[in-house]
Amino acid sequence: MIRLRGVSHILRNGREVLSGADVEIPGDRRVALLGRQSAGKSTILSLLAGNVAPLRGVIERAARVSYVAGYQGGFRVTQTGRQNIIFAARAYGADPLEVFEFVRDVSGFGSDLDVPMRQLSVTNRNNLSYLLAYALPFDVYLFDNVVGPMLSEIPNLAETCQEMYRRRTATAGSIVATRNTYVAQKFCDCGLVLRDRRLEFYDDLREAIAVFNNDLLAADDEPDNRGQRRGAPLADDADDEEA
Amino acid sequence: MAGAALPSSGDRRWDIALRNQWNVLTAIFFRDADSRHGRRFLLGYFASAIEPLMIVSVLAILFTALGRHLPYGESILLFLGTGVFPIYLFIHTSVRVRQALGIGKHRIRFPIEQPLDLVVIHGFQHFLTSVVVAALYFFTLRLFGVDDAIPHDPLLALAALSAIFLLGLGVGIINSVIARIVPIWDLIWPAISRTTLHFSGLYYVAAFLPPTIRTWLVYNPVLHGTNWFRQAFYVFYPTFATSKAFLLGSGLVALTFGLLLEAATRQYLEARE
Repeated sequence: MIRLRGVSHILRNGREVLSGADVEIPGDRRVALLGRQSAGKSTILSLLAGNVAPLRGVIERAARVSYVAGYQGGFRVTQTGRQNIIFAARAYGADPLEVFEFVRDVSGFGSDLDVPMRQLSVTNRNNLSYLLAYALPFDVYLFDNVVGPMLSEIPNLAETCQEMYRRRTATAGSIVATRNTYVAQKFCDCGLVLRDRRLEFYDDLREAIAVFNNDLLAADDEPDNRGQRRGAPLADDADDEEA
Repeated sequence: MAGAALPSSGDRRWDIALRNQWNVLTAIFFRDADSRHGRRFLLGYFASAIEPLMIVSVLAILFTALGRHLPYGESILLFLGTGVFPIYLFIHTSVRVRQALGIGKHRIRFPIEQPLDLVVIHGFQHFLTSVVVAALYFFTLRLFGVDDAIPHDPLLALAALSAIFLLGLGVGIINSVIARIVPIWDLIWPAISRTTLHFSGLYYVAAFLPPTIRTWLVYNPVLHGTNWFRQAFYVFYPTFATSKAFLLGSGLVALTFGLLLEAATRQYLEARE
């Protein structure tokens, strides 16, 4: 369970993402975090993960919450992939060898894991981050838009990640930030809607999607949002928000 | 996998929090133990030993060449050594802690690592290195026939170093906050801190100084640490300016103030960087 109490947060560009948000997010459910474009979904993931501290309020985590899958800020690029994986496993209280072997076998990187990580491509580092997140035993897994990397040189990685997502969320919770209701329906069974700088939890995903769609309709009516499309394709939603 | 499944509802538990903290600290210890500034272990770490050794050798040559009589004891190398290691432990700790709280450091981390974890571990690693270097130095002196070079009370020596380390840690945390607000502090503080060498009894016994100077020197907590450390080696070392309470008190005050300052400015500084 992740509990937000009076959480307010403002981005560096002055935009307010949350204003006095009070919500309890269950730690054993597959939660869709729904919000319109640039509403601050990625920022909220960073807050939930603990990468960013809220300006006001408290976030209590009665669960081991993952870093946002794909996040590369934890890697020391001067050290090898192996060293980074072992460090993360130790820090998160997992068996280092087990985690390393899992990532090595699924990625097929082999000797690439023994060179400094700055020599790996950004794509490979991103893929490594996803695999490492799945390899670590969290109670709540965080995802931004997608449950597997969008670019990969590893064959069938997208399918592998979906399979790992299914298995992990059989015993753990997840939060998938998205504005794509198809993604929400595919990977989640309840919803957290971000609107008017507040978070509301809905036990029923369909209800959450209905609220979210109403919010989008309201957004279309606002003069400065005219022309914004709903349900945009997955790919261009990648990094549209400043963390 | 280590660790049973955690409660997915309910309250946070202190035993789990403690275990998590321990996991993070040991992970950082092992990750950062084999490199410093990206250099390899021996070179990187023992580079910090060169500075005190240089000071000792230069002063020893000067004292001998000028024909000055010994400030205390029978070996100039031992007397200088018992001063230079505790003083440099303070200087280097107060400077090194800064590196763990550098600009943008709060960004390059897994969310489970906190900047203060790095401070604690890097400080501890520096403490360990300093103790090993000092032990090697005194052991070498003993091999060359200086009988006093093995402290008659090793625990007292370790306690003195620990107390000085505490002060260095506190001052270091305060420094890192100042340096993030006023960047030039990174150049000023290392220079200022090295004046500690002259005020902390490196090449003199404070008790033998004229009273007019003595009354001012006693306000330097590092001097108390040096004297404390020397008492572990010299049984009859004068007890003037050897207040353990003053050194420990200064260390705790510096540490408390530093942690409060860091916590109070964190939001502001991280947003600014």
